[in-house]
Amino acid sequence: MRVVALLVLLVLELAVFASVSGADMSSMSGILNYLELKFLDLVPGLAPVLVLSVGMTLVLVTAGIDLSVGSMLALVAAVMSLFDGGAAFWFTAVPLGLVVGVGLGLANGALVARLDVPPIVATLGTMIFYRGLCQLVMRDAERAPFFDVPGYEWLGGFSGALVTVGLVAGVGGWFWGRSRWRRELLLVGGNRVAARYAGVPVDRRLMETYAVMGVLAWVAATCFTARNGAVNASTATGLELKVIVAVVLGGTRVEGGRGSLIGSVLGALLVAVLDDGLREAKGWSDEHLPFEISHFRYLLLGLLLVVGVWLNTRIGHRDAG
Amino acid sequence: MLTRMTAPVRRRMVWLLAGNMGLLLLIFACLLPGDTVPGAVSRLGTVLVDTPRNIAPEMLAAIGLTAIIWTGAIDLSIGSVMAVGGAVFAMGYSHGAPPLVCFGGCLLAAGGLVAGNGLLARWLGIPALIVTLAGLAAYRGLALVLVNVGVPGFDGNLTVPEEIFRVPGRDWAVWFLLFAVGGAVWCELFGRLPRLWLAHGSSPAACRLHGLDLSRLAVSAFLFGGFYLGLGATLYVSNQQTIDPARMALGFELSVIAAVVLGGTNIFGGEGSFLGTLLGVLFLYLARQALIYAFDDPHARQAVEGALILGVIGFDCVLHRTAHRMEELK
Repeated sequence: MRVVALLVLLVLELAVFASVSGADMSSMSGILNYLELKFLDLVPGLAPVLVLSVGMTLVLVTAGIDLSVGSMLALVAAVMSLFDGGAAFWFTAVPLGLVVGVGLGLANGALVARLDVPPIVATLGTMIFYRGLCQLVMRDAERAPFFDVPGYEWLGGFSGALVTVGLVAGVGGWFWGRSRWRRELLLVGGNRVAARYAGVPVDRRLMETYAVMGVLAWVAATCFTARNGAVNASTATGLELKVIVAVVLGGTRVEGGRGSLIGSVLGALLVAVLDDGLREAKGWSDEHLPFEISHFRYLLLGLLLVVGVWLNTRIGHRDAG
Repeated sequence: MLTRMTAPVRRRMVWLLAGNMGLLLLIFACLLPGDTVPGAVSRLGTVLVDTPRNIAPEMLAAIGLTAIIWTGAIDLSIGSVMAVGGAVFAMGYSHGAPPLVCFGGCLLAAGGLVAGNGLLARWLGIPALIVTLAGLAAYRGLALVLVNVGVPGFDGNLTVPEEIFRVPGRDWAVWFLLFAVGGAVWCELFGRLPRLWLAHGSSPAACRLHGLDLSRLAVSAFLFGGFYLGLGATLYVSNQQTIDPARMALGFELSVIAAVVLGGTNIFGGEGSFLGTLLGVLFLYLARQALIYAFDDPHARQAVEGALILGVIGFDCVLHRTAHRMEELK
């Protein structure tokens, strides 16, 4: 039901933004042409959000949250950008980025699982700390060694992004559907005390979840740098909210214990189409609105988050009843 | 007065007092190498004289947030709320409104949004955490839309050169602080509501059995918090020479949360004191000053400050976890 509702919303969104952007929608070929161009443009830019929303689903399922994903992505990209472009980049910067990503994720996990810091406070803190580290690494510079790396740019194109996203969502979905790990995470999020009584190593599972988030931040950083080619200290600011809104709209409960990867992917598509549509509607908004439409995006994201959580709560109550 | 606080909060206050003294000594030690002893004493005196003015916005916001956290809720949107306050101030200023109207608008907008967070969480039945997380982005967007619509020719920031607009934040900050902190402490000592907020955060189930209306209590804490945060926003805006809603008070929420937690307030609610919060804000301010003298590099400063705040919160959570386990053992 949720998936159908999300698909309908997606179609509606595309229709509204197509009419605002002035695309030719009078014939079937015009519509197909518009959709083809849209997705060719959308998928590479959307890849980081899609990849991170898979990880955020896991984190939210455990009744956690990770506000530091944007800063993690920026820090991993910043560390990778310290290396010169060239074939050696694949053997030096890329593995180091993975190590940094896992380390940052584990640090979040340690704060939440070992020190009992509430996830939202812990990751709000690391969001600012990691951004501070990013500024320390980047200073006021912008580095762009990525397009000098042979084969790296392919990852930022349509086919590269599609393969990356497909791998993450496919492998993640397959593992999510079959593994015992999934049931344990759902139990940890649903009732931590019960999980402990059932013999689930709660702290370890939490550490693993945040570590996976770190790995996915590395994947997202690779997609991001392969598309944009450059990184600076303010890269991916505000990305965390887009990811959280996408996952919540997809039906994952912020209280934990329930989540859907397909829903999260559709939620990410919905947010990306909205984001892209608002950018495309700039010409229209300059004529018709007294403010910049890009500012309205923050308002809409906040509103969508509240509506998504409210809907999930209502559905949860109805199911319980 | 101290007998009404729990033993961990009392101990924390003693530690904070000692910590603040230690930080003052550290700042003095940092000042000494480049100056003579009387010169260093004079510069330390300047730091102390400027302290009330510099900490007033954070202090008032922290008192408001303390009341909210006591009930087991939290407000993550306070930085963005300040930006909305700044935007409303800028609108009034750009249309030639007198200072009182500009500051009144700022106070009402910021206070109203925080109180609105509490009401929204109550009506929708969703955690205040989520409402205010949404507010973190939405209010920043609202502030930008407001200045776009309400400030003619706005190009990213608005400069306020008139001295009269800086009077509340500069000349009256000490009085604001005295009255606001005095009022909050008086309220904590003799008022009924703060006790009920603590009870709410400590055990909602027991409060419900006692016949208390929990959602009303939570809303009253948000109203109290809204008033103090509104005052804090007014002083914050008054301290600024330029209004830039896109960057204004970015990350403010984390330093306020850290100060509250450092002051002995349990992040899960049910424990704490306004006096502890006061000492927590002072500690973080002095630590920041020490960092300024210790590190020349501003980039390193932000990372170290972030690590310090994280360390403080982590240490506090470990202490609570240990205390909880000891209690279980007993």
